Amino acid sequence: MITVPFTFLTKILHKPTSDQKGRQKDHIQLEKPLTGDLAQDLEVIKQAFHSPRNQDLSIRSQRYPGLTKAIAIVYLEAMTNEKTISNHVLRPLNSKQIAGAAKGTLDTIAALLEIRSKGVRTYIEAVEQILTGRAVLLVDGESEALQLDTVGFSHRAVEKPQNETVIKGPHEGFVEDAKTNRSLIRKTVRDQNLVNEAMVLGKRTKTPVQIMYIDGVANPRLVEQVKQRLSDITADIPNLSVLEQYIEDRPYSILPSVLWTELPDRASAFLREGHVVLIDNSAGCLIVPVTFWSFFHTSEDFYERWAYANFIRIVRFIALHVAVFTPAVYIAFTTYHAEMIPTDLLLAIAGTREVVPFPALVELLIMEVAFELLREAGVRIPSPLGSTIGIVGALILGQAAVEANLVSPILVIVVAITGLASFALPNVSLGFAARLARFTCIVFASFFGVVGIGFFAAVGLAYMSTFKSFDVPFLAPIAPNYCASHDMVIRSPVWKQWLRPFHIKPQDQERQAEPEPSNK
Amino acid sequence: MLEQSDGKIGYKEFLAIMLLTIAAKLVHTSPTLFLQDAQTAAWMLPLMSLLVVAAPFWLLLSVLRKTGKNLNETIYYLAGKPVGFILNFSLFVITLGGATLNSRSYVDAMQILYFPRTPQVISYAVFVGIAIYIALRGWESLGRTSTLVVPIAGLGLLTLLVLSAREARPAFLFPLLGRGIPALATKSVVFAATYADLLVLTAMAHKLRSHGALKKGAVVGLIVSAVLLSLLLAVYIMIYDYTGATGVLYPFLQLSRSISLARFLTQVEGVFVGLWALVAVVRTSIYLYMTAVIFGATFRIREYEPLVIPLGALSLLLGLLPANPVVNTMLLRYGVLYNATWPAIILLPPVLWVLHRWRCKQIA
Repeated sequence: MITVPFTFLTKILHKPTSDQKGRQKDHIQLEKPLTGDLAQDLEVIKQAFHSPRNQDLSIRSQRYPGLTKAIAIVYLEAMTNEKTISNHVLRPLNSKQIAGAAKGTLDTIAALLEIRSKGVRTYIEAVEQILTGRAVLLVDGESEALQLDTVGFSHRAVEKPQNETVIKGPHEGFVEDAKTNRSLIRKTVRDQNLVNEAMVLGKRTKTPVQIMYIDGVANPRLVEQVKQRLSDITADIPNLSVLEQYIEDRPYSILPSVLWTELPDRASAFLREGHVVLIDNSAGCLIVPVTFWSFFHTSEDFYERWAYANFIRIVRFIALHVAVFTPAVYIAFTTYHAEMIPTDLLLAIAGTREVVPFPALVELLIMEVAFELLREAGVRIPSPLGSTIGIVGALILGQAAVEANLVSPILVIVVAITGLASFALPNVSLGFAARLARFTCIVFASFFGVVGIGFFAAVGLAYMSTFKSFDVPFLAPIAPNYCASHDMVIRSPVWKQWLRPFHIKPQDQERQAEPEPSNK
Repeated sequence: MLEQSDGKIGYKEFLAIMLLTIAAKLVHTSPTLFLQDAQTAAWMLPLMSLLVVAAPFWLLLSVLRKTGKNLNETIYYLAGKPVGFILNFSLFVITLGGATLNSRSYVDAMQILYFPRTPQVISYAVFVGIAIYIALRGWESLGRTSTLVVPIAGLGLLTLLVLSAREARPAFLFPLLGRGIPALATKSVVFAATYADLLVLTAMAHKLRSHGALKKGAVVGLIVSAVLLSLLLAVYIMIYDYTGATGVLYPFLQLSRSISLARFLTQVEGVFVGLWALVAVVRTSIYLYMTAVIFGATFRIREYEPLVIPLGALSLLLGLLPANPVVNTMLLRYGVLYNATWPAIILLPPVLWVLHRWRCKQIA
């Protein structure tokens, strides 16, 4: 008795609005199977797409002489290739003749078409297929429809990648088309075990994502885990860059746990090691799991000869440390350990700093912020105005700031070297991480000098040692120690890299036969 | 899940932790203690102490292997609840004392040499705060961080030794036996406390992948540490002479000040100070973590990791008590901590071993 008013209250509170009700009704209707009545089926699909208000939905319904039944082809104009429809669907239907009683059944129509087709049984399936750019062919009296592969988005041709340039090696980059991207990968991985599984993400907008891996190499539990994380997503995913933020391990961390690359050859190399690659209509792909080394390496490291590759890697390793530590070391030395600087240099620095009214830290922050501004402006500026950035950067910030006694010349060198080093980092995410770490390091150094830098290193190492990407430790195979071919800062010759990295738990641990010691 | 983390570490990580806790003793105040009593023969002390602790540790490891438990559980299992509690609690007090005195001596060095005007509370709080942060990341993280730190620190140490070789005079090592064998022998028993860290670390024996990892890590760790300690002591004596070296409170940092790299770079101290800070803070975090582990094991607290925060704060407050570094080093470390620790190392393992034998016989 007492519960009655409460149930009444909850009913009032949770009363669905008329809008919600309508949506629910629509959804329930869409779950139903196709009726077979052409007019009714078309009406439901039209309602789903708000046609005729929505101009994009195209319906071509007519009778064909060869067929006994009426058919209708439904598609979204902007997403399909209409040439394909007219050449490979309409023309055969018009011209070819079918004899006998089978006239107009689904199978006979499918056999007529010069295009790949598949059966569709419910409204929701039909709507989803139309949304991916396929056409749906409905036949009067048949409770099954055909989806036709007529996808035709406009996209760029395969071009040179914008952000990952290489000197030696393939110059093709991914484009905004999943099919092209897949073919770019297949071109280098000729393996019948290369599996491409499709998943549709999101409740409202349907985003197809392709999961690629080599069966028998990639660990099935890894594949399962990737699928699990993808299926947990209910939000609308416009592209892979957003997807990356949904599947990463620690969203607030400064370290990246998913690798984004524009290079198909790089993706193929990761596939062969047992990683999983995610692809959709984006000009890049996502690779999981990753370690620190995935961000540190480039594809070129494997194309160059052993000595050259290791040379550029050492340079890059130095660049990473320069990018993180140089400004902090400058602050620490000038503020706390002036005796560390050679006397002549110290006097020179002191001479130039004499006229600067700010402490070293303020001076450094002015310059660092200016540099970050310059960098951001350089990305956003329309290209016809691009040259102004150089003038502003070089003249105003470099020379005029020194002449105005805002900063000392040595500091301009420090900031310039740091900036240069951060440009030498091959990965955008790693570059961002290094820039953020640099500011943290400056804070530590300004409070505790070199001791502070030591503290920063300790904290950084401890943090990185527990960071994980899809359960793979970020600093593997060093800490924790795993078996793998030598391929970290220094790599061994390619013919010696016969083991796949054990930390990603590949099913097949060997890439090739173990080279004999006397072989080379 | 690709791999369910079991929270355990392997041989390499354990070895790194051993080296960071034992061998790194020579980069803070401890050498002064060695030198004070053994004089020119101080460099032999680590090796002789190793001989002293070898048998007890062998017994300890064999007991642990047979029970398959960690140190504290073994103590409870063999000594019963009331006695076991007393033993475990004393272990906890020793560990907390060690952690506190260590962190205090690091902060003292930082203060005296580099930040004389910073209030001690602040530098101490920052130091312990960072150590707590590292310790909170867990046992696996400590193992991994140590494996990363040890090679860097080793490289730094090697550079320091090479650069300071020019100043060394082997003649300072003589007379070879210092004040004679009897004095050395008594001292070597007291300095068995140097290796107490292994006793403390066996409290995490169940978090090692295998008993083999523990055994191998212990043996290699002890030997390498002893050799390093002995080598560095010899270097200190050869450079400062024993009288001078006894008076130097922070010989490692002092040494890094006296070396130079050609005529242009006359001071390369900063590099070594950075490494010293790195080692110091990681080492302190290991001690804080072990304090929490032993406290948790004593009071049977399953979730012991968060205890690092209150115990770190306690250690900070206790560490502020000693009036000055001399009290800290001479009176508390040598007078109290070492004298409380060496009997524990030498007596506890045989007692456990006897108890274990007795227990086995009883069951049979």
